[in-house]
Amino acid sequence: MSAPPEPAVPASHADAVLAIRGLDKRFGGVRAVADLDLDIGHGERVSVIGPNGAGKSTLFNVIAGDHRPTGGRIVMFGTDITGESTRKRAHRGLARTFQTSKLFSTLTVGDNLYLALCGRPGSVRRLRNANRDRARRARAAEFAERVGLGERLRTEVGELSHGEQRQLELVMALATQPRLLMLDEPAAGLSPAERGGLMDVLTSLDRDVTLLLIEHDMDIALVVGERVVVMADGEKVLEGGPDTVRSSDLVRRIYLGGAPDGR
Amino acid sequence: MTGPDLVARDPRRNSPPDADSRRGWRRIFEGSKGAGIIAAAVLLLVAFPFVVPQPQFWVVSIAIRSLWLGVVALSLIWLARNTGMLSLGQMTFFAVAGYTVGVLTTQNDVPYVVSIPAGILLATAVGAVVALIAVRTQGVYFLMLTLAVSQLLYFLVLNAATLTRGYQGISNITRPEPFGLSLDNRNVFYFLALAIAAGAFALCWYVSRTPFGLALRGIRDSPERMRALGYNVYLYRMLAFTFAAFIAAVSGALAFFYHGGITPGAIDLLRSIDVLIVSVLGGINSLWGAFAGALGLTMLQNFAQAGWIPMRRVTLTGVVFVVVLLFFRGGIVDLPRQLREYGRTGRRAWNGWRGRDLGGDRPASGRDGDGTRPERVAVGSKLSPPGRSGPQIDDGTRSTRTGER
Repeated sequence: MSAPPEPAVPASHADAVLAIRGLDKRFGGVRAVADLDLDIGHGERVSVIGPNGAGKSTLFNVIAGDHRPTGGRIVMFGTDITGESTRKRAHRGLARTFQTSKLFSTLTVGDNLYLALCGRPGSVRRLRNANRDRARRARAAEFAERVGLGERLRTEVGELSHGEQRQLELVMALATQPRLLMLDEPAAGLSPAERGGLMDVLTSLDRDVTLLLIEHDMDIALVVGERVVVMADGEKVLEGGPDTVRSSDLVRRIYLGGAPDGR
Repeated sequence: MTGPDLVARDPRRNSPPDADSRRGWRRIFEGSKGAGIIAAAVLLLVAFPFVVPQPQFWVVSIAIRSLWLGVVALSLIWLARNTGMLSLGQMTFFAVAGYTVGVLTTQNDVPYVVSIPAGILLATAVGAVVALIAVRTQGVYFLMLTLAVSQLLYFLVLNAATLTRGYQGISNITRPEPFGLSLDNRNVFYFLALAIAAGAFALCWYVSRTPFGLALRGIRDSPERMRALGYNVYLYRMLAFTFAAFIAAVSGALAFFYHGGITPGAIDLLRSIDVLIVSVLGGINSLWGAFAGALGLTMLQNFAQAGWIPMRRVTLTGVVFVVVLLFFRGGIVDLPRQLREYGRTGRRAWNGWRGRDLGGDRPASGRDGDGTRPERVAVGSKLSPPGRSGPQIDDGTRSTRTGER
C-alpha cells in the first residue's frame, strides 16, 4: 500500500483517550489489521472509513476486547489495556454498538435499557425486584424518549423495525454514560428521516464523550467526523480532515475505481 | 400491488404500541390479574387430600411425587428459560442431597437438623463445581456434559458401597417429626411437599424478576453485548447453574423422605431423562409447566403400571414425548392456545381445499396471482406446530400467526 500523501494529524498525548501502537490482528493467514497506529484525544470525533473487508470492524473488536490482538499495544485513558477483558474495558468507560444487531431480542425495550444501566458494578442491588427500581426505570424511559421509543417501552425488541433497533443500540450505548463511544455503522439500513435523527443525536453529543465511528455513509462520516481515518486491507492508508479525504484521489480510487486496471 | 401488500405482511405494525406480548394462559398465570384463578388453585391444592377418593394413600402419593418431581423439573425449566442452558444433570444434585442426608443420619446418627441443610449445601457446592466447567460449554456439549456428570455420580454411588450401600441403597429411615407431626402420615407429608414446592416456585419466579434474572436473559440473548455492557457473563452463568442445583437439591432431600431412602435406581439415566420429559410435557416455556408435566407423567406412568394403558411404562413415556415434541411444543400449560391454533389452521386448510374444489382460481382469498396466497395455504395445511421452538429455549411469546386475518 502506498504511503499516506499527507502527514497524519497527531492528537495531543496529554489527554489521549486512546493510543494504539503497531496493532496487529491475524486470523490464520489473513492479516485483518496490520501494524496500525492511532491516537484519539479527549472529546474528538473520529470516523473510520474504508471498503468492506478493510478491517474496520476487526479494529473495533480488538479495541473493545472481543478479539485479542496478535501484536501491538492499546492504551486507553492512560492505562495499557491490551490484555484486559471486555468487561473491564466497559467499566473504564468504553461503550460500543455492533454492526449486526446484538440486542436482547426477547426482552422489552425498557428491559434492554435497564440492563444497559446496570452494567457497571456499584449501587445496583442485584436481588431486588427490578420493576421496583423506579429511579433506573425512569432513566431508561428518558433514554428511550431520546430516539422516539418512549411509547414502546413494553414492546419486545424483536418486534421493532430495523431502524428502531439500530437507534435502540445507540441509546443503550449512551445509557452507560461512556467516556469513549464506538459506533459500528450506526446508519446502516436507516431511512432518511432516521438518519436525520441519528445526526441530531451525534452532533448534540456531550463534548466529554469521545466518539469513534465506523460509517459507510459519507455524509455522516465526513460531517460528524472531524478527523477521518481511511483503512484498506487492514492498513491505515490516510488520515486527515474531512476536506482532505473528500479531495483525495486515493480514497476515490479505493471506493469507486477499485484497482487501477479498472476491475 | 406491492404497497398494501407490504403493510399487510408486517404484523408488528398493526399491534398497539405497548401491547403486552404475553398471551393466553401464560398471561393469566403470570400477570396479577390471575389472582382469582390462583386463589382457586390454592384452595384446590389445600382441600385435595381431604376430598380424594379411596384408596386415598395412593392418590395423595401421586400428588406428592408430582410435587417433588415438579421441583426438579422446575430447576431445569428455570435454568433453560433464563439462560438457555438445557441441563440433563439435575438429578446429580438431587442425588447428592439425598445421599448426604442418608449417609449422615442413617449411618452416622447425625440429627436431621444438621444433615438436611448439609445435604442441600453440599449438593449446591457440587453444582458450583460442575458449573465451573459446564457453563463454558453450550448447546449439545452442555447437554452431554451435564448428562455425563449425572452418570458419573450414578456409578460412583453404585461402587462406593461402604458409604452408599451400593445397589441396595439406603432405606429403613425414621422420618423426622417436625412440631410433633409425623411425616409418616401422607397428608402431613403432602402439605410439607406443597409448602416446599410453593416456596421453590416463588423463589424461582422472584429471581427471574430481579436485575440478576434479567441479566441472565440478556446473556441468553446476546452474551457479546452483555460483556460490552460490563457484565461478568461467566460468573452470571455460574451463579444461575448453582442456583438451579440448589433447587434440585431441595427436591432431593424431599424425595429422600418420600421414598424413605434412596437407591441408585432413583437417580439412573431414565430418571434424568424423566426430568427432561416432565419439562417438555408440561411446557418448557413456563415455570408452571414443571408441575403440570410432573403430574402428567406421574399419572401416565401409574396408569401404565396399573395396567390401565396396555403399554409398557418406558414405551408409553417415549410415545408421549414424541407426540408432545411433534405436535404440542408448548406442553400442557400451553395446550388451550395450541388447540385453538390447530382449529384455526385446520379450518383454513379446509376452506382452502373446498375453495379449490369449487372453482380453482376463484378469488375467494381476496387476492390472487401474487404468489403469496397459495404459500400460506400450504403452511396452514401442513399443520405445522404452532409457535413454539421446542427445547431450544425461546421465550415463546412470538406465535406464528401466519396469514391470520
